[in-house]
Amino acid sequence: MTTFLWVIFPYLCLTSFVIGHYWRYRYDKFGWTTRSSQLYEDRLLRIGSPLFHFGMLGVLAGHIIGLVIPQVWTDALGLSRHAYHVLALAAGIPAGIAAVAGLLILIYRRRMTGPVFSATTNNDKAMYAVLGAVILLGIWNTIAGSWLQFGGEYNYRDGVSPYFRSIFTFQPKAELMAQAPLGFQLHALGAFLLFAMWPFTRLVHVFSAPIGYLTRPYVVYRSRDVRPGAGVGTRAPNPGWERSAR
Amino acid sequence: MKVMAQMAMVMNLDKCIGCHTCSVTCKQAWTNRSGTEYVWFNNVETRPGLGYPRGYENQDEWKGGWIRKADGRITLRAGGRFRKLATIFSNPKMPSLQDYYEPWTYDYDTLLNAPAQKNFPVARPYSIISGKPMNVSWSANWDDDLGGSKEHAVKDEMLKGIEDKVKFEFEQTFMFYLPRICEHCLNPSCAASCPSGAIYKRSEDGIVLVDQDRCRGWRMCISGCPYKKVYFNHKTGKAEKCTFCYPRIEVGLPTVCSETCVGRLRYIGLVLYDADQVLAAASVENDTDLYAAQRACFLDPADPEVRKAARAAGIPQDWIRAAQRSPVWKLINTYQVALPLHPEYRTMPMVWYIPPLSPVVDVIRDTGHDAEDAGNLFAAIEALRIPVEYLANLFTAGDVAPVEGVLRKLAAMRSYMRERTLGHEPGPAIAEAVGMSEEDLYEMFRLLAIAKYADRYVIPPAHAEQAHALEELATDCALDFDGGPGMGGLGAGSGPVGEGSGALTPVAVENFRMLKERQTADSLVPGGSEGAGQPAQLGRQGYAGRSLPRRHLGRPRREGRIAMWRKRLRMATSHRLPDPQLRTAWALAALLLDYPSLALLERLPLVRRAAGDLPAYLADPVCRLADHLSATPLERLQRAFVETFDHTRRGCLYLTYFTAGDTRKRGVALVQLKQAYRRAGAEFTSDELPDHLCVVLDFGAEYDVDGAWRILNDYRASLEVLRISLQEKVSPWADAIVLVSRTLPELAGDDAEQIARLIEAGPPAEDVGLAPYGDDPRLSEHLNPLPDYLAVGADR
Repeated sequence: MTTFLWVIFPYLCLTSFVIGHYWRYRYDKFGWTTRSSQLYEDRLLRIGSPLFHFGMLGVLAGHIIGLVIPQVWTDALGLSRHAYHVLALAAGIPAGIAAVAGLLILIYRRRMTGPVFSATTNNDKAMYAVLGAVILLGIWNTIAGSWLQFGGEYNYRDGVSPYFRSIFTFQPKAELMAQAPLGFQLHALGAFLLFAMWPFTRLVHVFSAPIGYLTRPYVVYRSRDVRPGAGVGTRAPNPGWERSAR
Repeated sequence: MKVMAQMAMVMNLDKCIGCHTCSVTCKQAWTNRSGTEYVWFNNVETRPGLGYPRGYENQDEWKGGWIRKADGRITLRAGGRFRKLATIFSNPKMPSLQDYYEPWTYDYDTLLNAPAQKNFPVARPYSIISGKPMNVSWSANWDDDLGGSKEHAVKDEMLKGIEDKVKFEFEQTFMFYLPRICEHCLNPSCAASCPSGAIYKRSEDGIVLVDQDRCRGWRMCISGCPYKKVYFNHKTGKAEKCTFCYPRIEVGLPTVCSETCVGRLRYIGLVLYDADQVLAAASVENDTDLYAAQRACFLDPADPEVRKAARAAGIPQDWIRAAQRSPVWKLINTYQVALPLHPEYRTMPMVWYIPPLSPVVDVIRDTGHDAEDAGNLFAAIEALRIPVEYLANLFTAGDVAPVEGVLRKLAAMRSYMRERTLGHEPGPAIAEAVGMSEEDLYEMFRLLAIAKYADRYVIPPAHAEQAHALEELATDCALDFDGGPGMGGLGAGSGPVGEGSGALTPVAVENFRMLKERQTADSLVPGGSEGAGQPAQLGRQGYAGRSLPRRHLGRPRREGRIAMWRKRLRMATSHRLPDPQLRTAWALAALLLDYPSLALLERLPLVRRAAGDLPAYLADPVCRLADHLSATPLERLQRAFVETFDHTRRGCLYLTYFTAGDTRKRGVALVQLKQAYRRAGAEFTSDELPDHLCVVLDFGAEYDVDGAWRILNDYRASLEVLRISLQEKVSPWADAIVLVSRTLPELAGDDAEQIARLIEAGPPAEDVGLAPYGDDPRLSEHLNPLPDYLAVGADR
């Protein structure tokens, strides 16, 4: 069971993540969009969306610092365990609350605004369910686990983080996760599930975060290139649509 | 100097009648999809009015376009890169659907399925967005024709500062129409606003497009455009905008809005411009200098230096020539009567406008002065119904001088042309008063008033031969592979199951022109849609040269190929009169079958003399008929003629009528006859149908004996039916038909059978499309017999 939950399942999910994104980018660029519903309703969105998204950016930063950066590095920097703990909560709790508040506003808006709800697909609903569960579990972990420390003290940087990094070195330390508190386990499992479905939902828009805009010239020009088998055009034809070859 | 070419448009607002045809045709072509119901790539606004979306011109609120900072550089009014990214989660300046309008449809089901009831059923409006019933309270042109102007038009952004000049009282107000499309700017703020770089400007022709594969739905372009011509497709989650109908432009066709413009007010042409100067031009300090600065970016295509630079930049020679002939260049730079729309947005728009002259003539005339005298007209410009300041707010960032200049030129043109029309010699004075030469003024009149399609739209087709783009033609012998042009048979571009199957036809310009020629030419154009220059295939005659299954149209199915060959053999070997005699006989028959008139009677002696050259079996019927014609009073003859030939189906002189009847095949048969005439060098100009017996006979007598021989033999059955029918009626004109029949080979076997069958069946009737009415008793002749003289078979 441990092996399945913490070795097989994660690798399956990550494979789906990688291959799914490749497939989506190659074959469904047209569907790769935020499908923004701002046109239908913008009052609640004005509050909920920045709250949620900036909150999530903070959450993401926190996860990178907590999961990716090994504890020994922060120790070497002179940051004591306790100091790190305080910092993590001071930054993490507001970010988490912002994300949750934003999410609640957005979900309320999505359900209660007619046009927005009509534009919500089943895929979206499934995504919201998993995403919502993961986020709620996360805030639970932070508040109930790290802050109020129900169920005793647990330093996830001793257990969850090394496990997380071990996945990418292909030497998964499943027993670390097996010993973690239930909240963390569920959060991790939910997250893996979310990763598995990620490339097939609207969440792909996260990977289009337009960082390139910061360095791009304002106006883009394109010329019609000649491509073999395609004649003239500004893009390569989709597979199967090339001009018939000799 | 980096020379680039741009497709630009000019709209002459004097001619816009506000019919909205451009809007409707554009919508049908591009935005009649779910998600784009509220999208109008082309819309027509009544001015003064709010425009679409409401109040879009208030950039203090909507923050579209560019703004010049204190340091002289321009930046997006809605914020630069950082600001855009910071507000990406909820675009604060994006119009909501209520600013456009909530698209609706009607509950047609109620109308169609309502049961019988006392009150008339009503179709309520339902919102397309929410699906609920709604009260319609706004649309894309709600304030059209000044509707509700006291409430809406008073809020027109362009009226700020001149409210006192504009009255909305009925007899004092003004109105004109402003059709708008995407400006395809030289400095597009929509493209600059797109965080993912999905909006691009094409290097070849300057058309600005949204890449639907790259757009990620950030919706920053919607607010970036100050003209609000980028729209969000709420179903696909992507941005869409006017495409300048680039698929049409690429093959040399004008945009759909221009093509269908009822007022013929649009002009499309190329403009060469210096891309290096655009940024500097957009950054000039004063808004009022932007018009001149943008014009300064444009390059004169007649200038050899410019031409050289253009060639060096890769602009093809025919594009340069098109730029020289461009009506847009003339209107913008030569006559300088076109002005940009809102240059103060600093986007360098490329759809310009000629401001409308107000209906000032009547006002002057009412004061007793000569309304179209140049002096009076010029003075009246100051006091036009449409305030010059209003036009200036629209077109020159508030500077009235250029607008006045344009209006004076237009007034001068009117005055000048009026003088010419009256026969006076106006001389160059009027033109010089507005700084133009007389020739230019006259040419401007021609361009604005009476220019033809080809002069209004000067669009060079796109070039595809940069490398070996026309791969299928340019680099290899076309016979090296199947499906190339010149390869006959199944491989010739079409697949095994007819024209629509097989490999994709590349949309080359040649194919398009071929198709167009086929649609508009009088004759059958060789080659189908597949390859240019494919010869018409003999023996495979079909509609418009397409290949069809081997059937000869207009003939009964049973006649197979063998029977046809047998018949041709018989025709070839049977005894045929020498040509001169054939000609004489046919000419006589044609003459005698003409409507009896005094002229015909006068020629009867000639007829008798000519008959003397014919053998007895031919001369007898001629003389008999001629005798009858001279012996009977003319009126009686005429009545009898009409009764014989015009009132009954079996007495009709149209050869294809009996074989093709009232079906579509008759049209084809007629076309084939016309073809035959043309091949022999005869130009068929009569009002008569080409299958009239006399026409065929005249053709044979004067032009091509062999051709007429073939035609008469092909329609022998009709001829015989006619003969039999006339003989049954004991009509004197039966002799003429007998004459013709006797010049043709003897009937045998198949033909006799065919004739018998035809007589029984009568001419075929069209039944395509009538299946739903099959059961309608009103169409069934058994239950509803027609009166005698109209009934089928009444003349049998």
